[in-house]
Amino acid sequence: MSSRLERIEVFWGQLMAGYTHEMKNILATINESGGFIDDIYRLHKQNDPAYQKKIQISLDIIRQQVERGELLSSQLNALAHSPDQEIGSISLQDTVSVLVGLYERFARRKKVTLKLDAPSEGLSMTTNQVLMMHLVFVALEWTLSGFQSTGEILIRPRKGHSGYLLEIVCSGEHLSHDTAGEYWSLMHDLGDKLQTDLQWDASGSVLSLAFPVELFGPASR
Amino acid sequence: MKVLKILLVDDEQEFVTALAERLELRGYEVRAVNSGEEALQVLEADVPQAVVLDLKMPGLSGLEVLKRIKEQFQSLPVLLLTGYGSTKDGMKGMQFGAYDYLMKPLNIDDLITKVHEAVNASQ
Repeated sequence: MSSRLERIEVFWGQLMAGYTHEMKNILATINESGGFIDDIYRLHKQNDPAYQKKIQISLDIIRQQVERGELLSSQLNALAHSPDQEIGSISLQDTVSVLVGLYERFARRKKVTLKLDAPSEGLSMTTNQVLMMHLVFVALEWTLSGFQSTGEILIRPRKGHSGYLLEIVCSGEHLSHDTAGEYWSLMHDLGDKLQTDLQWDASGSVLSLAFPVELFGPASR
Repeated sequence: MKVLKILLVDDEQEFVTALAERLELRGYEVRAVNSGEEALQVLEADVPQAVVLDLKMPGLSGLEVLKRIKEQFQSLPVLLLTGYGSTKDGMKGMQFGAYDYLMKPLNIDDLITKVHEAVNASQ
């Protein structure tokens, strides 16, 4: 097994672990909110106005958790379909949106907020979607690793001069990004495969990924 | 069963609020907080008879909070909550002094039984 393949498996594994953990939390919340309504009925408190309000709040929470689970499942489904075609046409902002949704939990654990600022018009590109998702995931991992305390990561897919640009803008205190470590090197390897230029502006704390509109030649794992 | 004072610690606010309400309906005195930092602050002012602590939280992790609790309140029983399919983290928590761990979603009767077992064992 090559180390690159291992890394791709690590990428899938991390996203799956994040997804399943979120789903457990969603199910736990639905379980307790539903259990609370059950308790109220079993104790015959359902006609008490104070408990009627609590029943409504619990029902709202259940509805919100179902929506949260549905969104996460859609994002995971989009990720699962990414290997359907080795090279295919994708929307940059939709692909980035899926990853940002699945990655949000990793950032939250470090008290870092993820924000996506995507244009309304489509940024359609032809690329290897699996490698592209892997690259964006590693870029987010690298970016997050530079945060020592709370902060924000703004992700901006844009039209560039000759292709598309993905800007990852960090804001927070005590930022310290390592441009010599394993993630940095992996990001460059993936960037080479995807004919994507990477630039890190340390003064503005902005990582820029310049993607071609169309990938030429083979891009393999 | 005697009524106990329980501190619940979980960053999933809706989950911990609903669980607190269910325990209160059963006569328990419950304080619910959403972070490890908050839990340690609460413990400085008011020590409960048991702590139910989520393992994965932003900021201080459950394991870090557990270690600090055990440094200051060695006999205070702590039960861990984990959303993971794996029991590895729960086992690690027990090595650090947790009484036991429970998987999410919870069965409330199992939680109550475990809390009482933990409190009895600590006395």
